[in-house]
Amino acid sequence: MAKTLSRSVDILGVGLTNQGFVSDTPEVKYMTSRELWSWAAQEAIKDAAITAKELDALFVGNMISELSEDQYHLGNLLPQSTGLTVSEEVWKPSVRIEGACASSSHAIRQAAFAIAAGVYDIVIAGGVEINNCRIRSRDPGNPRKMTNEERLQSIYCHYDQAWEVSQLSIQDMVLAQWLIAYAKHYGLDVETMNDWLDARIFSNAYNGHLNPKAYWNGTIEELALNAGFEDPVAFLRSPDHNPVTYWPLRLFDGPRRCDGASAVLLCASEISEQFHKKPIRILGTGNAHGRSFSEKMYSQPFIVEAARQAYEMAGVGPGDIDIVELYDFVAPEYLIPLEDFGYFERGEAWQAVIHQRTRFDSDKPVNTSGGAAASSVVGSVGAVETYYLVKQLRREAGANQVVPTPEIGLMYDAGAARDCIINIYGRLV
Amino acid sequence: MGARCDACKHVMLPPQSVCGQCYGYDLSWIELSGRGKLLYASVGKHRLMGLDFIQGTVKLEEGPLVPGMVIVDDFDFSHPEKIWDYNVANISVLAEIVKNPLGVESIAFRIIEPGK
Repeated sequence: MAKTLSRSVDILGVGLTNQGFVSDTPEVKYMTSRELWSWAAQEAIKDAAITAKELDALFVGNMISELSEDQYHLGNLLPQSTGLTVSEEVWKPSVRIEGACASSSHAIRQAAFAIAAGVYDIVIAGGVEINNCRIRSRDPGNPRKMTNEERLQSIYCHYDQAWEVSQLSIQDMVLAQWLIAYAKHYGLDVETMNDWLDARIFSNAYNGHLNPKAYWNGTIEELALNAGFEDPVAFLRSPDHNPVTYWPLRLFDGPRRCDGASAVLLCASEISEQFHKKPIRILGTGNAHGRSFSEKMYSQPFIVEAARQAYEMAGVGPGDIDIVELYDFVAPEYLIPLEDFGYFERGEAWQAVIHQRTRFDSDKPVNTSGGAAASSVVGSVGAVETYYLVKQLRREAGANQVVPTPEIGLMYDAGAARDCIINIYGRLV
Repeated sequence: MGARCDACKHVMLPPQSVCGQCYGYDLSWIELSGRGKLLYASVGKHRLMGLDFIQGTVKLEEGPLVPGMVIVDDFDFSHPEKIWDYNVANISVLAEIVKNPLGVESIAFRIIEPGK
C-alpha cells in the first residue's frame, strides 16, 4: 500500500535571498544566518499573503553554522526574528535540522509531516548557510572568506571519518567514477564524455544567466572572451582556465559556493486557499540513504529508492514530470539522477544534454535556475530548488519561464551525494 | 576485519551490528583476505590539498565494496586520463595499510595483476 500524507500539504509562499559572500557582496555583506534567514522568511511570509502571527512552527536546515559562524542552535536563534512569538519572552516551536547538503530538504519534509500529522497548520521551513565565509564570534564585524583548510573541513566532516576520509574517498572522487562508469557502460569514449561535461556547463549557464538571484549569472562565452578565447569550448578545455580537479572532472564541473537562505511556507491544504490563490501541492516525497558508491555506479540504488517513494506517494510517474531542479554539486550528480528518477530513459540523458534539451526553452527543462554552477548554498539547496519550482509552476519565473507552464515539477537534493530527497510538486489546475 | 552474519553468511565492511541482508543480530568477526577486483578508479589532482592521488572502488572477494586509495607504480599524474584504462578492467588488487599523503594510516589497494 502506498505511503501517503494523511493530510494534504500545500506550499503557500517562497522566499530567497540574493546569494553571494557575506564578506563582500553588497546585498548580503555583514549578514549572519539570522539576517539571511529573516530576509528569506519575510519574503516567503509576504508571498503567502499571511502574517507571521499565523505561523505554528519553524524547521530550518543548516549544515555548517558551527564551523562558519561558531554558532550552533539556530532553532533557538531564528524564531524571534521570524516572528514566531507567543509573547516577547516566549517563542513558538522551532528546530534546526542537519542532513549535509540536504538539510533544508529534510526541514521541508519534516514540516510537511508535522502538518500532515495534524500537529500544525502553517509552518515555515527552509535553509540558511554561511557557506563560503567565516564569521568568528570574537570578531563578528569582520567576515572573511574561508581558508582552504576550513572549506575542506566543512565538506569532509559530512563523510564517514573512520572508513572514507582517511582513505581519501571523498565525494568528488567517487562522483568522477559515476561518470566514468556511465561512459563505459553506454559505450561513450573519453571525447564524448568531455563533450557531455561541456554541454552541461552550457545548459546551466544558458538557464542561469537569466536568473537575477543567482550568485553567478554570466555566460561561458563572456568568460572565454575575457580570457582571450573566441571558442568557448577551447576555453573549457584549457588547463590554465579550467584545470582537471578529479579526472575527468574539471573546475567548472563543480559548484560555486556562496552564502544565502531560502524559506518555504507550508500549509494544510484544507485551509490554503483562504490565503493564496495559487497554492502548490506537495504531491510526494521520498528519502533514502546510501554510500555514494555501488557495484554498477552508473545507477545509484538510493536515488532509485527515493524516487520510488516519491512517485508512489504522488500517484504519478516519471512521464508526468514537466520540469526538474536538481543539485548538481558536481557534474555527474546531474547525469545519473536524471535517469535514476526516470526523467530520461536509461542511456539517453547524455545525448539529451549534448543536444541542449535541458535548457528552459527546450522540451526537457532541467535547472532553469542555473543549478549549482550558478549558486550553491549547501544547507539551503532543497529550499532554493523549491523556490524556483514554485515560481515556474505559478508562471512567475520571469525571463526563463518554461512554456507551456509546467504542471508537475521534481526536485532532487542529496546530502554528501548519499542522502537523497526527492519531492514532487504540483500546480492545482 | 569484517563482520559475517552467522545465519545468512553475508559479509559486511565496515562491520555492522545487524545484518544488512537478513537483519540477524548474530554476527562474527571475519578476517578478510584483502584481495579483490578494482571496479572503478579516478585521479584526484587536489588543488586545495596539493595532492595527486588515485582513488578507487574495490569489490573484495568476500563481497563488500570498499573505497580506497589505489597504488599504481609509476602512474604518470601529468596524464590523469590514463586512469580510464583501469576502469571496468578486471584488475586484481590486494589491500595494504599505508600512510596516506596526509600522514594518516589507511587502507590502500595495490595492483597485483593487470586486467585484460
